[in-house]
This record gives sequence, structure tokens and C-alpha cells, in this order.
Amino acid sequence: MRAAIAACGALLVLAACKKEKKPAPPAPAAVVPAETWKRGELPLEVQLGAPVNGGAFTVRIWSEPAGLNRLHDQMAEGWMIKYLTGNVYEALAELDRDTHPAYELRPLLAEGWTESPDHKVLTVRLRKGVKFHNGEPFTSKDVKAVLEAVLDLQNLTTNLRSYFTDLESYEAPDDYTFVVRWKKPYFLANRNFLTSMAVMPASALEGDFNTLPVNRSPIGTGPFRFVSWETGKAITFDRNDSYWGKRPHLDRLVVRIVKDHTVATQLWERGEFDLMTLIQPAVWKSIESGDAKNAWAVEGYHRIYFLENIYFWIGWNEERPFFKDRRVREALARLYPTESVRDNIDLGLELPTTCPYYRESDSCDSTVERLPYDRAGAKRLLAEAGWKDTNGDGVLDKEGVPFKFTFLNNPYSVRMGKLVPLLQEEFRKVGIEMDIEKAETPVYIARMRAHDFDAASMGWSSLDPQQDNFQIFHSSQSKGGSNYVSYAEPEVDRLLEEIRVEFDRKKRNALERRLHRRLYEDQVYLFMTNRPYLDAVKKHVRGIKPSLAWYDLRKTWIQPSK
Amino acid sequence: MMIPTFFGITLLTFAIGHLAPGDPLLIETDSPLPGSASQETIDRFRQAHGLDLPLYVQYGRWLSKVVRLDFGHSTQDHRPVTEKIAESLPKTLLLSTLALFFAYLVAVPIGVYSAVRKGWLERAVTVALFALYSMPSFWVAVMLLLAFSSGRALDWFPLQGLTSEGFAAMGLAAKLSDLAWHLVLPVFCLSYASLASVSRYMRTGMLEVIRQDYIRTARAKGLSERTVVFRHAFRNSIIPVVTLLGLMLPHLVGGSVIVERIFGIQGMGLLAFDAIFHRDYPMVMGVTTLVALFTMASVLLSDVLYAVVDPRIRVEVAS
Amino acid sequence: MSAAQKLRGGPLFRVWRQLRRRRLSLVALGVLAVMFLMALMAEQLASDKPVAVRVDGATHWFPNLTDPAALRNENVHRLRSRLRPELGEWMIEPLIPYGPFQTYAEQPTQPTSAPPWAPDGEHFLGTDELGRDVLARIVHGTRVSLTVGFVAVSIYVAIGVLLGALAGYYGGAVDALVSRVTEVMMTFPTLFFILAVLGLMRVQSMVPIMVVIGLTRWTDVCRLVRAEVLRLKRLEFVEAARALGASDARIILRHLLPNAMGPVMVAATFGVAGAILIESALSFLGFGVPPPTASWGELLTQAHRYVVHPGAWWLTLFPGLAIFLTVTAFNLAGEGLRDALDPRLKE
Repeated sequence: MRAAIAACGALLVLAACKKEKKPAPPAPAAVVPAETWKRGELPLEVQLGAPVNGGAFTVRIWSEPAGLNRLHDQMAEGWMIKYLTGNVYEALAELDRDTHPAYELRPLLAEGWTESPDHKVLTVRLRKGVKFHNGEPFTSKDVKAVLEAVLDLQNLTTNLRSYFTDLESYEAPDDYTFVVRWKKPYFLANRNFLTSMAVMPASALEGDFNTLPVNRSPIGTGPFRFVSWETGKAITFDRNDSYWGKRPHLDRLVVRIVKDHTVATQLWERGEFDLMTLIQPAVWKSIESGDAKNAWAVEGYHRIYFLENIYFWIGWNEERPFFKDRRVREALARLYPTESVRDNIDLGLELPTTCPYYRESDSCDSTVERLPYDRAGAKRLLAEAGWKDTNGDGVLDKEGVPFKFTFLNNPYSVRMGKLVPLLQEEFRKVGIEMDIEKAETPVYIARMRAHDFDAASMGWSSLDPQQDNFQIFHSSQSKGGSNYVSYAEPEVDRLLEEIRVEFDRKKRNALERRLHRRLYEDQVYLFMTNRPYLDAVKKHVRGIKPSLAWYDLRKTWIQPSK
Repeated sequence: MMIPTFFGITLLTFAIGHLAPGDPLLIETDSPLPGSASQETIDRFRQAHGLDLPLYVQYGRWLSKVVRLDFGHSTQDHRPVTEKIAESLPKTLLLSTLALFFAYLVAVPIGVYSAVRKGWLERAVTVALFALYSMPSFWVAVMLLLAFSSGRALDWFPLQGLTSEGFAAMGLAAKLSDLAWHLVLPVFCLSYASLASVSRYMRTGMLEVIRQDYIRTARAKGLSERTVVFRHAFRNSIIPVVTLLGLMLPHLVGGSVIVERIFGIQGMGLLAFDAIFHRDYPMVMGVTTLVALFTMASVLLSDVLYAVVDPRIRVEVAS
Repeated sequence: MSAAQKLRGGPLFRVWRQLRRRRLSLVALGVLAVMFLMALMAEQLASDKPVAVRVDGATHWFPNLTDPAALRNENVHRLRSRLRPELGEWMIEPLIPYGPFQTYAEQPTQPTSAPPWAPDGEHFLGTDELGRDVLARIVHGTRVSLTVGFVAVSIYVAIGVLLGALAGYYGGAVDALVSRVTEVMMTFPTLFFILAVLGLMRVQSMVPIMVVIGLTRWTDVCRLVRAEVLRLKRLEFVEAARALGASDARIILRHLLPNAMGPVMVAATFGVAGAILIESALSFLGFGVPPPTASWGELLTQAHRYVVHPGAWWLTLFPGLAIFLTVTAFNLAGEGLRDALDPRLKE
């Protein structure tokens, strides 16, 4: 199901939040900069000129991947490595970056496919003459082996496996045809199947899945092949000379692993990266302020601001007596100082949102208005819901229960580290006592999943802007799904079910907009922000542009200096 | 003597790994999709890992593997724990040994000096050492990076890692100098705090001894101050300092967590930290056991040294 | 022997006499006294509530401790502006009119830029990333640092002295057992061990941090005491005491321990400093006291994020100085104490 991407997004986000360090901003923060740079537009010259072959391209990533097997739950964690291994592995189809923000499918290892009228049978024609990096030819038996590895319950492939719960059968009638049949129609079933399976040789999947050689040295069909991996330092890929598609321009791809953001900034300043990623907001702001000491960044790099398809939220566990009541959730939302958080914590870089879909898609209802910061209104709502300070101890109570709860916080999210104490103070002023408990990522996720929390925060992200919120908001999904807050609303359930079988995008979008409005009115979450990529690319890099599916390095080249 | 310690170490490690709240099972099957691990998968997993057996059987099994240096697979990336440790251990050993060497090289003379000489210099050195000891190492490390590596002030040392790009292709001399160049700041950060304590202990020991009667006797005999200090006082007062040697290794490994994190050195400290953070139980248990065993060896060494430098103990051992 | 006699003739009095002669130690003791006062009176020194106020016909003493309902939504700045002296209303303000949790949202003046803000007349030492007054947080952080330092060290000195004395004095099986336990404990790297235990435990407060530091670091003291006792018990005066028929307990308590206390005191003073440093290291690594509690380590951790861009030096400098001063003071005081304690240093 689609929600798996979203659920997986939670991990990505948590992972991405880890180790964020934000230095101080000197500049006035409240100014929201002009739209052009917000969209991540690079100057025209970056896309112009005749591509030049050759050269090495260095990218900074901030964490060591667990492995490079994209089928493996743990190893596919972290969006950046997912994109980078995307240069090694290819799926049957990819999201076409040129069709932002719709992201239509473009054939990759498939030459094409046909869908039966009832959407239940997908027949894929595979590309001929494609060779893996180890020289083996690519055929339908490889697709079959990959699918079988994913379906094997012994393997840690639960992310991908969740796409196939409604799979009826699959077959490879000949070397270049592959057929899947679904038990029931679902608007994302075929799209998920085509884009998510990283194809590797069948021979590479033999043996214990956790310790396969490809986990450390991947083999795919992509434009770059794996060369070496120095733990804690760098992963290197070289151009695949026998690539089936258009020859990539770059000879070498060096992925430098630099965990510490301060160190990364210093290396960046020395010009060691062609593509600097995860620039810390304060650093970004300090560069933006035009301070002379940041001239190196302005002169040497184009900065890229591009909104990810991700939204951060605070969830109130509705199994707790406080949060079942919609009015209480609304009151809490009215205590979230949107503007001052945007200016003082997010430095104007993250954008407040109300929508569980991609901001620029038609799935969001742009007329939904964000609740204002309004302490009096919050107090009134709390009183209406029966929360009053009857015993004069400064803490609201209802039927003898004081309004005291614990916020589960991930210590590695710097943003939440700042935000939660702020909310704590806000809540205290209306008589709500909130404690903060830190839990490291694995425990954090386990506890969310066990619904063992009062309040907590996460982000849902999806690489694909066509996404399904069934797994997150459907009442059936509070058991075993991603409905961690145990939200249950019959009308929302109905909408979610309708969306799943609506194959007409316009009609589906209309349903999704209704869902968006309803979810926000219900305050299922305290919706916070969308986060941007804050990257920078060296000025000699050409043919690069940001997209929801990251950068397309097949088209990137390095312009030699004259 | 080593056997019970070994059992103690493994027992404590096993206890940390198994009695702490948080099911290792939960972590191992940790998948972003809740509930997708079916009961069948979980049962199969429990069986495969022997988690359905009583704890003492699990301990026995684990121990029998440990004896063969098999700590299982890391739950983070499924590589053998031993392999990952083998990759990291040399770096940390190098760092720790150099740090120890540096600390003793500087601290012992300072300790002796400050015990036998009084005056403004002794005071100044004392205060300077205190000052060093009082600074959090991560703060010092970042400051050093800023001062010597950021290019903001000076640009003398590299920011990260132990070796430069293209290390493998260098000649031996170039390799050594490259390594040394990378090691300066991390080794300093790792050892500066020990400077103070080693010299403190040295000084304490010296003062202790100098006031002993036999030193007075020696002085009274008209031996030169140099002979008194080095032949008699030094030899006896180095005892507490030597016993420290064995005790310092675990502190250094502990300190390496911070230093390795800041300087991006993929050693045991960083390995341990990542393992703890990810609740990688086999990894935590593996690192703990191995580091503990190493320390055990070094404690043994310091006991031997103790016997060598303290004649009284040798007599007792002999008799 | 009466308590007064003990004091006069006892080691403590001698220590004090010795200490008085050492200027640096006295300065250190002075610094520590100030720190203790700060820890004790944090609320009176730095608070968003007044020390005392008369307003709306009621007098409140120490509202920062009692938290009266009438003043719940007030702070010093608001009260200052609405106070009517002509009606006999008055207020005693704290030295620092900011609480440790008072964020940018509750500042008297509207900020023009995002925090952290540099030191100015309003915030003497600047603010942190949430606009919280650094001085107020340092003052309140004293409590955490000192508590962690003292409690942890008390735990481990007690354990270490007890075990060390028993092992050193009795030798044989006792020594073997204690030595094995010590060796096992010692073989675990402190910071790593503490991290592992804290990381795997779910409890979060100062208590586990102190207990874990206490339970892991006693081995140094134990070995020192053992070595000292081992050395001392061969000396003539112990033999003499034994010949005179003194009991084991008496020999240990009256003869051995007092003479072994020197190194223990040195270890303990270094230990308090060390515990404060460990606490800050734990914060740096994300395992410190839970937010929003102010601790110096936590402040330095924040500072670390602001070191390079654009350099919030006040966040680095002042908490660093606080740690530095306290730890150095402990060491200097301990150093003085050590020399003063030593009965053979009288000349």
C-alpha cells in the first residue's frame, strides 16, 4: 500500500532529523525571501551549453548507510542513499523529473506495460540487451527473483512487501515479459510495483539475505557501478561503460560521509564538495545575510532551496483521556505560536502547512486556513471541553484527573528540542502540565507503534507526490498500521476507501481535498511544517536541477574551467 | 585469576544486553511498517536466535560463541561484529597508545618537578594543568578545530579522519607523516585531561615518598639531590602512577567516544556510540566484552609492573 | 571523645589551619561557596517572579517558590509596569529578572531577530537559541552540576573506601573477591559503560545519571585505598597498634583510613570535577538531564551548534567558564586540602 512509503518516510525523517545542528542566525529572520529561490531555481546558465564528459563529482552525505541493498528495510533507510544507489540500481520505471509536480511514470528497465481495464492485471515488457554490472544479462527471471526476495517472510523487506498484500499471482511467461495480478484494484498498486523494485541479478540474491555480498557491493544495471566503500569516509562509484541508456557525463561519483554538520560546513567552505547537502538553517541564513565572510559560498556555489514532500506533525494519542475531544486538540493547536516558531526556530525556511499531501499538488485544499495563535480561544475551548482548574493548584482538571501528560521527544531532532520546551511553557500558562521524555530513534518508533505515548512528533514523507493516506488515518490502521494516534472517524474512513479505488486523478484529487479539510478541522494532528532541502552546488556543475526524486546525475556534467 | 574476571565481564555484559528494558527482538525486526512482522515471522526469529530459551542457556550459548570470538551480527548492517571491531580496533588502539605515551611523557616529569621544586613556575604549571583538566573535551576539540583547522584562524591540521585522500598510494615516509599530521589534534584531545591526573598522582606519590625517613636518611648521608630524587624517591613514587596505567585505558576508550565523534575517526568509541544509539545489542555486547578483555590485560600488565617497581612486593611474591 | 574535642585536636581543625595559609585554596573555597549559594538560592537570584511583592492589596513573599494563583500569569516586567507605589505597592526584584525557562515568547521587548541574542543591558550574558537568559540558566544549572557531582562522588567514595579498606586489610579471600569485582568494573570504559546503561534504561532524570556514575567510578578509590592500606598496614605504627590489642575495626578506622584519606580526598575532588565533566559529556551526546532543565553541559551542547555559524560566542564562553571555574575551584581546594590533610607536611 502507498502508506508504506509514508510510514517509511517517518523513518527517513527521523533519520534525517538526527544530528541536526543549527548554528546561530545573525540576520533578521522574519523576512520571507522572494519566491524564485524558494522554488530552487538555478540560474539558466546551469542548464545551458554542450555537456562535457569526464570528471569526478563529490556529494556530501551525513550518515553511514547500513548497506547498499535497496530491497532491505534497514539498508534502504535514509533518502539520500536511496537516491544515490538509484544510480546503481534501476527499477522498471521511474518518476519523470521533467513532469514536476505530477511525476508521471517513465519506462526504465521496462520498455512499456499494459494494464487490464479493471486495473487488476499488469503486463510488463522488459527491455532487451541490458546487462548487469557483472556482465549477466537482465531477464524476467531477475525481476521474479527480486519479487520473491521481497515476498519472502524471512527477509527484512517489510517496506516493499507491504505493496504486495493484495497480490494474487505473478509469472514470467518468457524472458522479457512479466505479469502481476492483484486481488482488487488499487490506484497505486502498479505504480508502486514499477517504481519501487530495485532490480539486481537473481544470482546475487542467493544466500542469507542479511549478509548478501550485494549488501556491501551492489550490482545493478544503472549508469554508475559500485567501486569501493571505505567505512566512515566515502563510497565511490564509476561510470558504467556498458550502460544501456545514454552515456552519463561524469566519470566518477564520490559520496563523502561527513556526519558532523560543523565539520561538513568547514569542508564545504574549503570547496571539497560539488554538491553540499543538508546545510544548516543558521548557516543558510548567515550566507543569505550577505555577510562578507561568507563570500566563498556566494561566489563558489549556487544554493538550492527545494521543498521536500514531507510534513511534520505532533500527534495526540486519542487513547488518552485528554485528547479524545476534538476541542482539546484544537485548543492545543491554538497554543502553537505558528509565526514566532517560523521566525525564531525555523528561521523562515520551513513553511507552515495544514495538509497531509504534497504542498504543490492538487490534493491540498488551498482554502483551508490555519488556526491562529490564540491563548484566550484555547482556554475557552478547554473550558468547554470540561477542563477547569477546580482545586486552584494551577493545573486544569476534569473529573479529578489533572491535565498532565508527557511529550515523547527524539533527542536528535534539534528543531523539536527547541520547540517542545517552548510548547511546554505555552501549555503551562493555560494550566496544562507537560513533561518531556527523550527516547532514541529505535525506541521512539517502537513506542509510537505500540501507541505507548501521550504526545509525540514525527514527519511523514513520500518520494512520490501521488500518495495514499489510508495507512495513516483509517480507523482500521490503529491496529498494526500507522494510525498511531488511534484516530477513528467514519466519514474519513469512507473517503479513504473511495480514494483507493478512484483511478481518475481529477476525481481523486477532489476527494483528497475533502479529506484534507476534514482532517485539519478534526485536528487529527497538530500540523506543523514542510521542510526544504538546503543544498548548494558548485558553479562549475551543469545540467543539474532539484526535484522530488532528487537530482538526476545522469545528465550532470562538470564544466572545465577555461 | 583471569578466569573469574573473564566470567564477571561476560556476565555483566550479558546482563546489560539482556536485562535492560527493550526487547532486542523488537529492534531486530524493527521495520517501518508496524504489525507487518507477522507472529509467524516473530516466532521464527525467536527460535532462530534462541530467544525462547531460558536466560542461563542463552548465556551459555553466547559464552561458547564468545570464546570462539563470535559475537554474531550487527543489527545495524548485518556485518559480523568481529569484522566491524577488527576494522575499528587498530584506530582506537593507536589513538589510546599515543595518548597514553604522550600523557606520561609530559606528565611524569611535570609531576616530579612540581613535587621537588616550589615556586611560581610550579604554581603556574599546576594551575595550567587544572585548567586543562577542567575543560570538557568536546569543547576543546571544537575549539581546536576552529583554531587550527577551520581556516578561520590557522589552517595547520586536517579536520577529519586519520588519513588523507590517496593514502594507499603514498610511500612509507609520506604515510607516516600523513598519519602523524592527522593524529596531532585527536591525540592531544584524548590525553590532555590525563596529563593533569597523571602528574597529580606523580606529585602526590613523590611528596609522599620524599617525606619518608629513608629519603631523609639518604639526604643525611650526603647523597646528591639528583640521586635522592631519581634513584630513591622517583622509583618508589612511580608505583601509584604505574598502577594508573592499566586504569587509564578504559577512560581513554570512553573518551574516544567523544574524540572519535568530533574528528570523524571510525574507531571503537564511535562504533560503541552508534551501537548504543541504535540498540545494536550484539555490537554493544561485542565491543564491551572486547574492550573489557583488553583492559583486563592491561591491568594485569600494570600489576606486573607494580611488582617490578616495588621491591617490597617482589619480596612478598618470592617468599 | 566529645565532638568538640575531636574538632579541636582532630584532623579537620588542622586542615583548616593549614588551609588558611594557602591563598589560592581560600580563593577556591570562596568560589565554591558562591557556587553553593547560587545553587541554594537560584530562584531568588534569577526568576521571572519577584522575591517579594505587594500588589492588588496582597503581599506575597517568595512567589517564585510558593507560586500563588494570583501571580501565576505575572512576571517581573509586567508587575514593574503596573505597580502603583502611591497605593503602597512595592516589589523586591531578583538580581536577574528572568527565569531559566522564559523563552523569547515572554520577553519584555519585542525581538528584531531570531535568538540567540548577544549580551546587552537586558541579558547580561546573552540568551540561548530560545531566547532564554544564559545567566539565569547558568545560575539554575549550578544546582544540577553540583548535585550530580556531589551525589555521584559520595556514592562512589563510600563504596570505594569500604571495599578498598576491607580488601587491603583482610587480604586473602576478601581481597580476592573485591579485587575481582573491581577488576570487572574497571575493565569497562566509564563513559561507554554509563552511556550503555543510560541508553538502554528508559528512566530519565538526574537520579540514574548520578547513580550510574556513582556505581561505575568507585574502582579508582577502591584501588587507591586498598593500595594505601596494603602499604600502611606493614608500617610500624600499625604493627604496634595490633600488638597493643586494637580491634580490626579500630585499626582500620583510627589508623589506616585517616592515613589513607589523602589520596582519597585527591581522588574525590578530582571526582566531583570529573562527574561534572561527565554530565556535560552526556549532555553533549544527548543523554543528559531531560529538557527543559538547565545544566551547564546542556548549554555547552547548544553552544556547539553555534560555534561556527555565526559564532554565538557567549553561549560557548560563559557556560564553559562556569564549568571551568567550578572544576578548577574543586581541584585547587582539594589540592590545598590534600596538603593540609597530610600530617607530615607541618614544617
